[in-house]
Amino acid sequence: MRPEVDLLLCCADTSIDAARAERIRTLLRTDLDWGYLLQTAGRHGVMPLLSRSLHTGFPADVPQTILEELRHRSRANAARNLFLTDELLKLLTLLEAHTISALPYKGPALAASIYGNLALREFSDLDILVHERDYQRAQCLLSTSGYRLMNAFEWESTYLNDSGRVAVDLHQRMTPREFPSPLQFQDLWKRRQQMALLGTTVSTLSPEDTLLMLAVQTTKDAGTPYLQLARICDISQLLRAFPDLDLTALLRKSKQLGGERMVLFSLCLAHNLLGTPLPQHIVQKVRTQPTIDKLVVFADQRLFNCGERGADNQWSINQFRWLARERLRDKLLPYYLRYVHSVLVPCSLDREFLALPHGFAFLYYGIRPIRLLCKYSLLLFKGHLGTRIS
Amino acid sequence: MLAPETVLHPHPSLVFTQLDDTEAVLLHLDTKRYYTLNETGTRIWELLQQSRSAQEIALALQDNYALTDEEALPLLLAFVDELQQEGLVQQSSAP
Repeated sequence: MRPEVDLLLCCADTSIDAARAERIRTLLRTDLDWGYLLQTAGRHGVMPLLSRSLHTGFPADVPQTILEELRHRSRANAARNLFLTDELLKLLTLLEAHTISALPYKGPALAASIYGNLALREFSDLDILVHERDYQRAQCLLSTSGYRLMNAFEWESTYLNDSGRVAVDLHQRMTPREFPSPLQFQDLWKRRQQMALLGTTVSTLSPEDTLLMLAVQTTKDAGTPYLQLARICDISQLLRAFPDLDLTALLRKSKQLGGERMVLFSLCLAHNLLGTPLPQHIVQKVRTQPTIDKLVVFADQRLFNCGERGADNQWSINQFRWLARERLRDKLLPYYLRYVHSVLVPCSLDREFLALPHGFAFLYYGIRPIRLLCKYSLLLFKGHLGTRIS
Repeated sequence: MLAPETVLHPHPSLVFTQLDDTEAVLLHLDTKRYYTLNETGTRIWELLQQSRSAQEIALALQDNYALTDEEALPLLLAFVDELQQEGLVQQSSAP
């Protein structure tokens, strides 16, 4: 491990014990590549934590220019977070005025609930989850309130406001269909908790659901450049912020929802990377599931060198996701969607290919294979066969 | 000159967060300008948020930082002067 990565892991925390402080001092005496450290801290969203740890505990051991650079970035991040939090509050007020229940998660809500400080996380957009039945109304509302639709996926839409400063991810589900999440809006809403954001009370996920959400996001992004160290720091900080969290009950519930392995994997990853203390019963449970170790090794090895592994990456990620899910239906779903659903179920292209009168829509099930056969035979003939079927 | 009984309030468009124990950031939502406060500035800002008079804030500073009356009031006045120049505080007289 590079000393810069080691230093980052030691500093990406809100509490540093004596042993870790000694390790940091030792690392600060080595020949560090400060440019790489700052770049990696930025890529992993932990610059505020690094800045705070070095300023608070080791100001004499760090070059002054680096301290100033970190401070400058931290101030700008804090100001941006305040601005985004204010925008989030405006959006929540707007949604509420139109009787749309909404749950902010990640972003400002997570920073305030687990760090108690908006300045200690980095976030670039606002994630808002609404009920599937309200999704279209919420989309219309954003579109008529100065937000421009940038991308629409089956599970979320991304928006940018007119000034280009505020990005919003509006979700009807937390994850794509091919990576099913055990978290549904109606259940999250029933268990929601109130919290204060800039003096305003808002609803957000309960601590238990927050841990489950972080575990799902960590598993979904493991092995890809989207997984940041910051996510793992969030897990560690959540356990510190809510020491009474009933992990036994949480694991029982997540097992019912098909998410136990994701929770155990995330907890172990936090333990391995950041030294997050885990209760003995969790450690014992992990020992009975050797798969967890394999998952942790996979994510650990790729966290700081993602993208350097070339073509085996997607294959490895598929294998990882297969192992990370415990229910056969969750394992098989991506393959069903990719190779069965996408081949058999008609889409808008089939309707464009041949317009049928209302009442004859069932015929598209026969037309689709014919259209695909024509399309891909032609592509094969031309030598341009792609991988996506549409 | 600020009268001792003057009550100071943060401008309603200001939002605040601490960076750590020694520094905080203020953002003016109308101008989108941000300001940093050092440890003493942060403490004064917290007291301003409680709608205290200048005299009460000066007394609190004396307690917090072991300052004399002659030291605390000029310190406060200089800080408030800077805040007023930037339009960050509004004042009213105590009832």
